[in-house]
Amino acid sequence: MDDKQKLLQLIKMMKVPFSDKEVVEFVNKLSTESIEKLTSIYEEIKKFEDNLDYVVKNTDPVTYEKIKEEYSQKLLVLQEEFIRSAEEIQKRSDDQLDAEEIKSGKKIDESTSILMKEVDEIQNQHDSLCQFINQKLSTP
Amino acid sequence: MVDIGSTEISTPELSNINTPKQVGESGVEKTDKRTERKQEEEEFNNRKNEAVGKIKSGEDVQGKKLYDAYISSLSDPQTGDTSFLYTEAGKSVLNIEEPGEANKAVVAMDALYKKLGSEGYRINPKDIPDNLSPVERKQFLKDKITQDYHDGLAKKLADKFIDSYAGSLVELQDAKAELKSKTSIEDVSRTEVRKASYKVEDKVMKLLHMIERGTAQIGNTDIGEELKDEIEAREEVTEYVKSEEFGDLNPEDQARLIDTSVNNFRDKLEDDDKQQKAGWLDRMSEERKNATFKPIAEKDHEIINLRQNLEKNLNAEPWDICQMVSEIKELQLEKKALITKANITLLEQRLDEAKNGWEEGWDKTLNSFIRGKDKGKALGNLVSAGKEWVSSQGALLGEKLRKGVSDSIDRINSGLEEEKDNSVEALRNIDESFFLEARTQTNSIKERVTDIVVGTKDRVLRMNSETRNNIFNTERTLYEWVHEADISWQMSKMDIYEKGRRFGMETSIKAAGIIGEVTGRDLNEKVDSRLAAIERFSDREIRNKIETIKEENKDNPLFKHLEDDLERRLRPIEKMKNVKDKMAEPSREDVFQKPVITSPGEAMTTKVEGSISDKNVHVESQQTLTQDLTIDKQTGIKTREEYEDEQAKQIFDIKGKFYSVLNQALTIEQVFPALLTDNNNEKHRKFVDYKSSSNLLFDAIEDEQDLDRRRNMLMLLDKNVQNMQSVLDNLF
Repeated sequence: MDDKQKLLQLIKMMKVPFSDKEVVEFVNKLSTESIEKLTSIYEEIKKFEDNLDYVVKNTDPVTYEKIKEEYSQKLLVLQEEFIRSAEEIQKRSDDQLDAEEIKSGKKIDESTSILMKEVDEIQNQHDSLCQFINQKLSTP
Repeated sequence: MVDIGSTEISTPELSNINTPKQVGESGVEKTDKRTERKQEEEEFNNRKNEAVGKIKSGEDVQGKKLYDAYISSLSDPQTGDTSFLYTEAGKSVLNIEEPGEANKAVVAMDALYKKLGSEGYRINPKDIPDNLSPVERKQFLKDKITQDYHDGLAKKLADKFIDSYAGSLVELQDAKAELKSKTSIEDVSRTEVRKASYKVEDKVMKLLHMIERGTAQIGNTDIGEELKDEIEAREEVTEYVKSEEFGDLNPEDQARLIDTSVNNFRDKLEDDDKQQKAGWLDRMSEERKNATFKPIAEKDHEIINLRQNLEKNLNAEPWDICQMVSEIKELQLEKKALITKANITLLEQRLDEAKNGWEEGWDKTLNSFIRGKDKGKALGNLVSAGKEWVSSQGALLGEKLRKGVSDSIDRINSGLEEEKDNSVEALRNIDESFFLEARTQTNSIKERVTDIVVGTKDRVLRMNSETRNNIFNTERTLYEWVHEADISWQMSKMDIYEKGRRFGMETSIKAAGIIGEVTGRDLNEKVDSRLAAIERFSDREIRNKIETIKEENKDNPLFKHLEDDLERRLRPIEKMKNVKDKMAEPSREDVFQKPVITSPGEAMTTKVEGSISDKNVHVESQQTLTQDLTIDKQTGIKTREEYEDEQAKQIFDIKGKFYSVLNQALTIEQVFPALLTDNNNEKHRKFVDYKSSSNLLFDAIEDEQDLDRRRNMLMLLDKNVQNMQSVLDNLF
């Protein structure tokens, strides 16, 4: 794995608030020197955090498990909340669009129905004129 | 190590299985539902087993990697509780002939079996042959323990670990199948697709969470991140679909698609006047047919392309799927508008045909009544009849039409005055007026329909874009909260580390959970190297490195985010270091916190500058622990307080060992019922005596103020615990 990939992975592992697209964009813009240094910086911090994790896990396992469970649950809840919020946003938009489409569909149907009646009426009027004239002319 | 399976994610399908029955359900319904649920559960388990099969065979590449990572983690005792217990049990099994090793193996295996969800490691007394001598019986048990360890304990642990991954995978597959079924419906529903696609997202998220948690538990976050990436790539694979535009198709294919649209339109004509409408359709000119149905064929083609795109991209993000569905719905509305326009075109065809009929009708009228001997009078009658009709019906006509008809009648009248016959042209004009009136209406409605659709399309585009932005903003907030949670998780660990350092890390290490209790082994060495690495870490060096690239990246806004992240991680480390440095500075308190132990005699005779002459301390001498002395700072001789602390730690340690021995005894009793009591009565009696004596000593030592006596009691307690361990070690 080259430094660029390592840095991409480290940024994701450290949960820096970038979207996947942003991470790639960000890393692609960096110079080789910056990539190298940032990779080494994050590797060192990660190592420190891993060591801290190990020590705490083995020196105070009860508290460690408790906070780890809390952290894990927190991540799960955050993800669930995001999915719920996103779905709710989507729902609001979907409901409006559905209503909009129903309304538009109705408007189209109504316009057509009015048109049919009007054209029928125009034809009937023409027929009425023809009949009237023929009747008048046929009367001696 | 906690197995991955402890992250139980409830399946809606399965959780329903235990839902209480509705009141009022008939017995038959209840039975049916129960059977149905049982079948669903069985089906789910079968598919889960299939998934496990694929993991083990390697067909599920990422599952296999996870499984293998777990298996290898078992041989690395540093990974966590499970691997520690597993390797310790392995060591004990290997040395099972040594005294005490069988006990240790049993205790560790019992803890592992409990982790698997069973009551613990058990040997059924019926499996032990009756006719064995005590020696043979001991050997039988040792062999049995060895066999049970080697016979798939690792596999059982790995199966348990992988079980939830397999279950989550099946749930994800089910959610995907449901989404597929919802998107393939002709009249696709936004609500149904939204629910199904967000359910898939939820399942993917839970699967990834499980991977992250599981790999963290086996201490392999690197592989966790790799697997998450791979699983995301696998489960969220999308495909670029290169769609061919209608215009890019060859003329034959275009003509075929137009014919298909015509035929579909004909098939869907309403029954009551189907024949008549079909007639108008068939009599349409090719040009009109093409102009009417080509846009429908194009729209159909566009919808098919988008549907194919959707089908190949069901793994996309739910908001992308919902947007695709929205686009399909919008195209369907456009198609509806085009179908409406096709119906209006049918009406126009009807008008065209009617107009031809009108001409024929007038020809008959002219032939019958006008083209005779008395043409002038007949034309006069025609004019007066026409005027009479306009005056009686005119109010019902539109203004333009009334004017058209009146003008045409006036034209016949003015012709009469000039002795000219304008009737044919005038009657054509009357027809034209009616025809134009109708065509104005049809054109106006066609335009209106277009306006309605364009308006809706604009709103759909606007709302889709707003929705996407809102979701992205929410996602941004999620990233920030997750980052916040991670920072806070690191800080919590630093807090624990800090407390540990303040109150004595060694004591904590010795009391390290089940590992310490079960095996009594010390983790000091393993933790020491990590502790040293933590202490060596230099936040200043990191800061210096950041400084060297700051200028180069000053215009990169994302670099600022990274700097913030680094700052938030480094600040608490720096704070921790500062506290430590402060503690390291020589101070009055420090003399008592970090004493250098020298011989008591030397302490009593040596005096140097900076002594704390007014401090009375209790030091240990060969004769007594309670002699008051004035000592020098350099001697570091223990104060009474320190000595009490030290004894308290010793009591704590011995208590740890005592409970560890009791725990072993309890486990042995559970694994081999009555081994300690029935078959080893004498040993059992001794064990109980040591235990009772220890309990009394533990109670007494707490109240004892005399440090000498406490020391003696400690020695006795230590001996008692060793004796108890020895009784257990000699059971096998």
